[in-house]
Amino acid sequence: MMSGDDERLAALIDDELDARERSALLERLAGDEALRDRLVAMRHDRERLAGAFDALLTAAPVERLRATVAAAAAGARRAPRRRPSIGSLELAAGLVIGLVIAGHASWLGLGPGSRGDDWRQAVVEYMDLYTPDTFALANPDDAAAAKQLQAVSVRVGAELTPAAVAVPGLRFRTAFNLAYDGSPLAEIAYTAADGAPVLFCAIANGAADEPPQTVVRNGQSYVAWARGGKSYMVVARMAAPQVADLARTLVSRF
Amino acid sequence: MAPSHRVLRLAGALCLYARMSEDSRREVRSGLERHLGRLWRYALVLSSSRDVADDLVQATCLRALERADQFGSGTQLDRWLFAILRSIWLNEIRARKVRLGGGLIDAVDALTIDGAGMIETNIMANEVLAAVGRLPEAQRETVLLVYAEGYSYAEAGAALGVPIGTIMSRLAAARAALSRLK
Repeated sequence: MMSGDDERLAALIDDELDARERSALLERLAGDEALRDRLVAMRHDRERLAGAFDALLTAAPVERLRATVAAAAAGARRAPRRRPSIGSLELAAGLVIGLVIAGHASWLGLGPGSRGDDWRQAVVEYMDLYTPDTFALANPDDAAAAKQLQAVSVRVGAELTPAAVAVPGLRFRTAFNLAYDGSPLAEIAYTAADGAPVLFCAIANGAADEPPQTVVRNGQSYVAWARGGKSYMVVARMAAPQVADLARTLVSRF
Repeated sequence: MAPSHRVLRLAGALCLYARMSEDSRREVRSGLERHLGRLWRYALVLSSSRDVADDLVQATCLRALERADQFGSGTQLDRWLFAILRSIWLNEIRARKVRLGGGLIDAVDALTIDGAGMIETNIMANEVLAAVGRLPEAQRETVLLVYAEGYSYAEAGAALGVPIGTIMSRLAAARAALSRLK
């Protein structure tokens, strides 16, 4: 073995030698058993490395990543048709995210025929993206708030009037339309005193009545119920009892 | 990236994306999906953290969608995506981690195969990956690009901005680490 032989052997294995270098090295290999052994060992190492990296590839969360990308594409197709102009970039972003995640759900196998609360999982997932900043610039006056609520009421077929959706301790921020598997989905966003986003969602999905229940999922708590062919939820990144308190008023009204 | 910023970035990406031709969208999107696993592997090798790898792949996809109109059809999409991923890692994520004083995570444990049923192939693979994980980041990256991704020395040198000799010395160091496994 000579100085630099490992690099030369590696380059031979990797087909990186020019014709002259290659010829010279092959000639040496023909007469040098130790060098040949070293070549075999290095080739083996390279195969082990490539094999280990191949195995690592199998551990990649491809389906999850694919769902994210597919959701982006689905959201982009729907985004130009979205209805409301909410009046701030961050809210527009929130809406697009909502649409994205609505599409995302179908890519996750949450399509028709799956469990009835899958739309809630989709909401919980995009709720993850909301921060106090998301709604900080949404300060509609009474007329604008009423108009937004009127628009979502018509779509979802519920009386989501300003008085009906008012919740003590929460500040109304905005309301807009989404859809999940073709069913109109109203999202009403509030913020708590500390700025934490709270969502009240209603979807006209024909679900059978179900009593309120509190669920903790993905670090969020929500209260879920269904009545009169519509499903509802109140969700926030808060402790379950706190969300249950906030939901009580809405549960009594819807 | 803070969630609110990510929301804005995603919205921005989608707005741009919607204006692009259907063909271009389809090419970039299908390419993204096809290369997700390899992007994630590269991200994991760089970051040594599965959470960071997820974020890095997501950020790469968003950036690719934003800039899809800059993608030349003669370019290899996977190489273009890798360059985006590396740029985000170096300029945004790693820089932030270092700035925050969080340091970088030991890659030994991150580069393993979970839930593999411990079949012999994966046990061996994990041993090799653990050895790779003990290498400095630059060596890990070089080994991945050349031995797993099939970059030539010249291509790896161009991608990483170093001479071919540096590529060869990094590979030699990786091999030396592996040889100590025996």
